[in-house]
Amino acid sequence: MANYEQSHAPKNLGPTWADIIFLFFLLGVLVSVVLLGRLAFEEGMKTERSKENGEAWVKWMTDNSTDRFKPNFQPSACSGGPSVASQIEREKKDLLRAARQAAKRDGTEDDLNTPEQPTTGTWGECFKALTSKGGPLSELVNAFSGEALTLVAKCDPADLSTAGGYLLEKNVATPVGSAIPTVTSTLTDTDLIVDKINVRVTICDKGAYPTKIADFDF
Amino acid sequence: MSYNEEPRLRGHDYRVEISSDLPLKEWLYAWFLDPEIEGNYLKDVDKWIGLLIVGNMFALLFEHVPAVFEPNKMWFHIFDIFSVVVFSIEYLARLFLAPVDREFKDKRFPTLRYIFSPFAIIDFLAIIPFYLQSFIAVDLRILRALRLLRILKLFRVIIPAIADFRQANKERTFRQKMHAIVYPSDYGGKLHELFDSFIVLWVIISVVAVVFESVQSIHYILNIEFVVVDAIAVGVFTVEYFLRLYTCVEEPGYGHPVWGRLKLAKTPSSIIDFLAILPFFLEVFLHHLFDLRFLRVFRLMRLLKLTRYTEATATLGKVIAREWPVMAASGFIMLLLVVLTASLGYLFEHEAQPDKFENIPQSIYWAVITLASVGYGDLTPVTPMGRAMTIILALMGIGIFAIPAALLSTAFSDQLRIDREQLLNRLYEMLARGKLSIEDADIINKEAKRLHMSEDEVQRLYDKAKKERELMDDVSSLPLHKIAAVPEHAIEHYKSLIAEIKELSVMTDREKFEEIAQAKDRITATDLALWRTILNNAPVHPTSPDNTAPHTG
Repeated sequence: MANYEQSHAPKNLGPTWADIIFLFFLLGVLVSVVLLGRLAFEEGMKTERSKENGEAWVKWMTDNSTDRFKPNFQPSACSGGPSVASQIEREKKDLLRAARQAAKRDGTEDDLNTPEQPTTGTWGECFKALTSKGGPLSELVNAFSGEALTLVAKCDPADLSTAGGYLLEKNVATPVGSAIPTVTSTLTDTDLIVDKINVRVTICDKGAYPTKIADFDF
Repeated sequence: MSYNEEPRLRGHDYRVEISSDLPLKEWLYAWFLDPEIEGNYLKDVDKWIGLLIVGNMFALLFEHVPAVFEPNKMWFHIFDIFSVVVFSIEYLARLFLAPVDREFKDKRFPTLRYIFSPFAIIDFLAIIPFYLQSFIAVDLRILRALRLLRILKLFRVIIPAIADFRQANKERTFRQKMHAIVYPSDYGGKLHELFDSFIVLWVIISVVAVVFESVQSIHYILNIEFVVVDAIAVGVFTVEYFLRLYTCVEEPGYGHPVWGRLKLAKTPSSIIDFLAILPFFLEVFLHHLFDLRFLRVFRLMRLLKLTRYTEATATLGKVIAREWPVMAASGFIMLLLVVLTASLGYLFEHEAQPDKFENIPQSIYWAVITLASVGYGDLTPVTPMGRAMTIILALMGIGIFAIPAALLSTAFSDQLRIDREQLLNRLYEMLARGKLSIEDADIINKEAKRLHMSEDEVQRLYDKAKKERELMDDVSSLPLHKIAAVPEHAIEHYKSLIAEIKELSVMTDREKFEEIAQAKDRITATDLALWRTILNNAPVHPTSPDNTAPHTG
């Protein structure tokens, strides 16, 4: 190789025009990598902000997981404990009575099967209280869309509009001896939160893939 | 050694011999710090100090990640203490050895001169913040910033490498210099090694990052750090890729400015380099349109970049190319067996288990799992015929599926033997020219390092080549009086002549030979007796005066 190089040794040893053009090209490539890296960084930061949203949910729910069973807890819709349970019972009875009266009045007593569910002590009410204007978690913003943070049914990579959204699920223990220790399902509005429940908060990242934030008792 | 005047041959484990009679300072300096002595521990010292500096940089980065730093605060502190202890020992050792240091020993007040030398100041700055904090309350952030000074210690390796590089490339163009940095050549020296180490380091960092990214708990904590590491790695690999493309015209066979570069771009290693950076650009540009998360796995291809720095893959390539016909034949037999097994499995089991052995393609999975002795157990034969067949197949599978493995293993050792034989032949050629030159020794040393031969092995090979070369010279070309001058050579020549006589006896008609010899008195009785002795391997009695005329039948 030495011979080859010697035979091709040019007289001008300084950078040639080709070298200078190449150096500028290399500089351009580097600048574009930096710019694209910055873009990737900004996208990554959006996922970080989404995680912060999820963490805000986790923080509020864990901070209040004990207090919500104490009297006069605010928002009261998220309260739990025996007083709420008895209130639900009363509400259930009222609803049943009202349903019977209505059935009697309409002459459809035989069709009386499922009266309306009480709303007290349900997740739906609590969620509304937390996210409605003035609620402790109402100010959260979706980092990707810039709009108010929305609850999604599931993180769907095929639907990028779910990116930045969040998902609240409940973990329910399975009977002893089951293959899996818990079953996770979406928290619905009618789910009761009178007793402690185990909740999972998940956020949807840049590609709308789920990122679990935490499992905790609420 | 009997060949003291010749350059020394070294294996990959070469260590210089330093006399223990030297004064302690000189002995320590020679062992650990003298850059002029090859085979001492300086390279190891530089390597480990360099790794410790890199480790310190990572520690500094992770200290800014509370989720990593807080639970491991104690370990970070221990690592910091360990680093400072090592750096302090290094500093004090250099200070202690300054009077014998080649750079300072001829000057007045060598220790003082050393203290105020740039490298010593850098070394001092790297450790002093740690000691200062014991006396002065220093803000943690300032302390961390000061610890960045440790990176300057790398200049102890980089600056001499640059100086050597500039010296070696004085008369060369910009492109040739770039080429020397990027490609292995006679001009790259230590700077090329540092460039390679830098690329290897980034390959390892980025691959480790990709692997850990898949661990949800780690990814959750270090999401942004992974993004930054990936962007830096892509920056490094992109510059490397274009530097290789630009300077490849200096490589033999790639001289044309366009076709040479295109030719390089088509080589497997360049394609690997390209694929190592492509996912980053695709993901940044197209992530809004498609889900390109799967492309991230392709970042693991960066690991293949390391193949450039090891001969293992080249050897594997050679082995496969050489054994290809045999491997293809074995593959064909395997294919035949798999199809046959799957068909029989389908034939015997379909009726009993129509859901599992639904068709022949589905049975192929069972056949491969059985023949390869994996046996997951999700598909099992239940019919007596099916089970009987499985017994035979499992036994056959052990043999048939082992063939390619055995072929590869044998071919690998063969390749190693061939490489060593080639090295031996080169040694013959070199020795034919006389003694080994420094250049010859360099070539042999590089080759020995590549073949992972120890110093003893290289020496044995050299001795063998030298001896055989000498014998070859004696027997084939030296005049008789020269052979006779050295009794050892004379013995070898004698043995060769006896062998020739034996060969002659095998080739000629012995009866006729004796008949003619006796009848026409062509040779003396003593010569005939000797002929018979050699032919019959009869013992020669050393004490007998007639030992040249043994009893013949």
